[in-house]
Amino acid sequence: MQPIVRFGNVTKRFPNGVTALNEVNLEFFPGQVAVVLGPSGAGKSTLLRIINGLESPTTGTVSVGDLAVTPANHRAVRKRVGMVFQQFNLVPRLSVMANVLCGRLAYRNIWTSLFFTFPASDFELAEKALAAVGLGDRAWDRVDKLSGGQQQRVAIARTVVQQGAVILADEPVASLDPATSIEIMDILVKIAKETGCGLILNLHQVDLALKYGERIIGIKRGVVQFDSKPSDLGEDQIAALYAA
Amino acid sequence: MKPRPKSHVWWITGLIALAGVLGSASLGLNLGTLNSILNEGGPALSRYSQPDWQDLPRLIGRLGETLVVGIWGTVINLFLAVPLTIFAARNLAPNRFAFRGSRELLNVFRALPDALIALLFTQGIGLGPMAGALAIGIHSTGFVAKALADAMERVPEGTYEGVRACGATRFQVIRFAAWPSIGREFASTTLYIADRNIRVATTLGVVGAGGIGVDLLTSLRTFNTGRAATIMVLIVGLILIVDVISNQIQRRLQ
Ligand SMILES: Nc1ncnc2c1ncn2[C@@H]1O[C@H](COP(=O)(O)OP(=O)(O)OP(=O)(O)O)[C@@H](O)[C@H]1O
Ligand SMILES: [Mg+2]
Repeated sequence: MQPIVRFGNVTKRFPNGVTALNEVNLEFFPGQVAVVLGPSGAGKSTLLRIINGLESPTTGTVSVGDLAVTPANHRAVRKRVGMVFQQFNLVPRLSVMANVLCGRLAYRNIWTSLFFTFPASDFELAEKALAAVGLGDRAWDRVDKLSGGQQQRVAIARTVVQQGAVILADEPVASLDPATSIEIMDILVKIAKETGCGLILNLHQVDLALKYGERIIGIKRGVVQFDSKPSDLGEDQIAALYAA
Repeated sequence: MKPRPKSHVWWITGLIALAGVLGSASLGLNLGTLNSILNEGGPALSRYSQPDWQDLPRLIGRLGETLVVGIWGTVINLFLAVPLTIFAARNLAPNRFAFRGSRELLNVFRALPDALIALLFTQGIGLGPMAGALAIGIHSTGFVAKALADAMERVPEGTYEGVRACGATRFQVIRFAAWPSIGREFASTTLYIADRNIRVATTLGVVGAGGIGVDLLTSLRTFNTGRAATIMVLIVGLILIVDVISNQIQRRLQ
């Protein structure tokens, strides 16, 4: 199978001298739920943000499908890549519907955006996505009226209408209570399975990682420590990952 | 231990005292002048107690011109401020030069008083009421664009990032992340500045930039006290009405 995301010898060094990623080589595949684990500051967020160009590698190459991730390709790349954040990163003063329609912006021109004249097909997609995350009846509420769990559902719906090939989720449940976390994880995995998207998750709860991940990648100080099926993963490997 | 910071109080007191001495010598400002204002001011002012309503229709027309100058000034201000705001917000500017350049331009706009710009346009280019509108538009842009750019900078980075990560262009990020987040500030700033611009327009006539200010000036110069009184009543009336309206709208916005 063709990988949907490829890291070729990627190193990321920030201007302050921190090496967040060190010679990373990884491939991600459609329909696969990959979980990235690692201690705080390991480079997990940087790994995800480099995929959609929110950060750019110092050396090495990243590609999404057949597209190299370069500034000139950002729009085309981001069209294929949805992203869910820990802090939801919605526009609080917009309605749920408007936030979800943001997921269609890569498909729409300046005039559609200016006058909010999205085609009916976009509204249909958005309604379906909202129904899929269980928020069908809240479309025209303002997003800042919703609870944290509901806001994260809106963010997921926004990635669904992008109809992309991969969804990135950077600690999507770190701001939510345990019960809500399970709901959100269930929704994310269900959507990845239904659409055949690749799903790459950063998590810091090992139990959630083992429950949902089909593949677990451990990184520490920017270096990949292991990359294996959860069933092949020893407790000693996980302990070593988090050891100082 | 750090040395105790030096106090500037003595310097400042000295400068104020010096200004007082120089001022009283050169401008005829002294306690004697104050005294004569107190003694003669009353009778002088009492001459303005009988407004002369003869010329009312014409004066109301001039008052309307003042209103139009203020409103057009605000419209020009919006046309200038909206694009400049985007360049002047550090997190949305296309590059550092656009950011610094537009911030400096706004500083210049703020530093130039409306009356000075109006004078340049009337005497230099020979414009009439348009000069007033342009002057007001330029000066108030300095305030409006700065206030809005600052508001756009206060929007959390995550809000922009969420929309940007969807593949939005810079324009789309502005439309869907920046604009909704500062919409309310935009409305109340615009309202405040429109109110201010109409007040300023009443004086710009003095430099020939349109409106009722020039009528006031000629009435005062020709000691036509009745007419001057009428004009002042009209100006105060206009300002009060504008104030009431803008307060009403302001309340609706909340
Ligand atoms: N914009 C930046 N400028 C400088 N250093 C950065 C920047 N972003 C991240 N870093 C540094 O790079 C390293 C990796 O950061 P990253 O956010 O990828 O870690 P993480 O694994 O996501 O951590 P966490 O679990 O705390 O979210 C850290 O040492 C961090 O301080
Ligand atoms: Mg992180």
